[in-house]
Amino acid sequence: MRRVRPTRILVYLFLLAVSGWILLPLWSGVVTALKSSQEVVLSTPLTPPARPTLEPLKEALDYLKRPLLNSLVLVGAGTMVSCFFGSILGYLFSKYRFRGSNLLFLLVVICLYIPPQVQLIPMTQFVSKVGLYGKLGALVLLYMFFGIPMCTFVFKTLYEEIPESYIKAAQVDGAGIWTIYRRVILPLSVIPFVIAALLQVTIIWNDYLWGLVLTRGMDNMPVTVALANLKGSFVGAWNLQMAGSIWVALPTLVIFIFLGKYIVRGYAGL
Amino acid sequence: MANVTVKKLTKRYGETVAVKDLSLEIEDGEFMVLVGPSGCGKTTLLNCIAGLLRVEEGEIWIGEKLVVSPKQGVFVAPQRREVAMVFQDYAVYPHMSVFGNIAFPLEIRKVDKKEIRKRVEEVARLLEIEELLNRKPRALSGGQRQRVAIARALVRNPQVLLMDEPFANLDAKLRVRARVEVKRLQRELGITTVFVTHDQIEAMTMGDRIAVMNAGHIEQVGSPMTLYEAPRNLFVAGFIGTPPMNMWPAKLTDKEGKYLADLGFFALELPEEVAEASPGKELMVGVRPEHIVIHREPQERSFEAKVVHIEPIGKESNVYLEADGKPVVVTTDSVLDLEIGQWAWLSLVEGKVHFFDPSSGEALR
Repeated sequence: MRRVRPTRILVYLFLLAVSGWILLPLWSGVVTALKSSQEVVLSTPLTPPARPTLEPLKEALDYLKRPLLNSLVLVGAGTMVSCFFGSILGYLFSKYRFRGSNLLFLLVVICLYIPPQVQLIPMTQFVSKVGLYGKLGALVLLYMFFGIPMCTFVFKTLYEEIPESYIKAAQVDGAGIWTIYRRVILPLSVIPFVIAALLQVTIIWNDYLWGLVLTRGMDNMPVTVALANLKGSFVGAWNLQMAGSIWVALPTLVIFIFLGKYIVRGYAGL
Repeated sequence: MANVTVKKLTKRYGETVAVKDLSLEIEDGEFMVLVGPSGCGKTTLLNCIAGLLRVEEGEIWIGEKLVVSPKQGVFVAPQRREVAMVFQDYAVYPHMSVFGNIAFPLEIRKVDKKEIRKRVEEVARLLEIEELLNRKPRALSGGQRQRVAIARALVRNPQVLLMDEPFANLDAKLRVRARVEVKRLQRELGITTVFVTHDQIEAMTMGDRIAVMNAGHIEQVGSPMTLYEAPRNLFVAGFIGTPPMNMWPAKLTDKEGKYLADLGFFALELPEEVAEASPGKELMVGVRPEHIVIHREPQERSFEAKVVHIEPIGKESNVYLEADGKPVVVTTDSVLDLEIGQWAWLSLVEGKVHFFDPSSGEALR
């Protein structure tokens, strides 16, 4: 029989304790979302519900329906557009060095480090000049462009691993710059697209600031902003807030569970 | 098929000059090998011929067509040069099947589908990879991948085939086989080929002619035997041949009307024309290891040397000796029962001794 070393047992106990500590808020969120308003007041945030109810989840979903849809539109449009441009720019930056391309790429990278707070006022002015202030369209436009530097960076870094000789061979064989992109680079881009999209989806879905500043009304607001409004008028409706949070966290959670596997597979070269 | 002419080509990377004022004539149907140490500009020259690099000065002609001339503002894109290239890492696309890889150049040229199938199958038969056509490259061995790369290069009947160290990633045994096969294929098809390698044995065994390159220029162009028997300078003499040629510095003296090269351990009689061609009193004497004969007893016109190391390589042996502290390598096929530490007498084969001017490196003839 294999002997289990005592240090190993200690390590597992430690890991279990840390996992428990990390999962505690999630536990609290789930149990609270399953309680009625009376039970929330009468029990601690950690006690399991005595009489579980799905009422808060239904109510929260009803309230967040429209904002959820808005966020979905934002994520879809923003991710697709910035991945598309990011892929093309990353390809050009990594495979077609031209005079000043390094400087230009540096400028792109710098864009990643400009804090959004600095851009708030100019962006608000710009958006109202083009007549989109308060509308969902303002956010769609913003995420489309603001995602491009990040995507360019991801694609450039990953495209650099594609051997230079693939490009040269295709050139000698008669392919132009776009044919090479379409026939050689794009089919090899699954992993970069997954990684870039994952980043974009998370960033856009979780963003709060731009939605708060640039949109007005439930019809335009992203789900994060709407969630903050769920706090109740007189007393804290904790069960509603927690139910709403679960709805908001669910899509990213599902995507991570699903694509996380995919990324690991990609790195293993399968 | 076509000949390739390179005229006074110069290629710079910023400040560094990769190829300097280089001229080279490659005959129609010839197998030309560019050989030299790494960084000598051989791959750069190949890329210039392919059109993957732009040059600063000079001209390149492929057949009757001027493809590069910065002076006349001519730069023909790679796809219009009718050249094909095989890369060191094969550049076989992992997402396409073997068929897809070979068909790729034809698909880009919008060749008819039926015609593509016919030509891919033809070239696959030529390279004996018919059974692999449906496989993905990751299911192939290195040697098979290389065949795919060569098939892709040949499928559109290029005028010129360019190969950039295509055997570098193969193991030793496969490399010998690949050498024979590529050479046979080239001879059968009669395709003008430019082959880059840093391996002088590959160069000697494959080239109709060899261009030895060094620091961006060509040291000598000639048939393998010309380079071997009449190296034009110290660089070529040292680069071609294994073990490398023995090189000894010598002083030019004359005694009783005869010219002598004083090696310190031996006074070698010097042909008159060599002595007269020598600009100074110093010269370099070069002898190939197989042009030195080992004797167990003292001989006339021989010198004494001590055996330091013996390398048996089967049919023959390399014997490393020291004569007056200077290293001497001898290749011999005679079994002499030599032992390390033993003394032997060496004599040089007449007419096989090379003389060089040490300051310019040029051969004295």
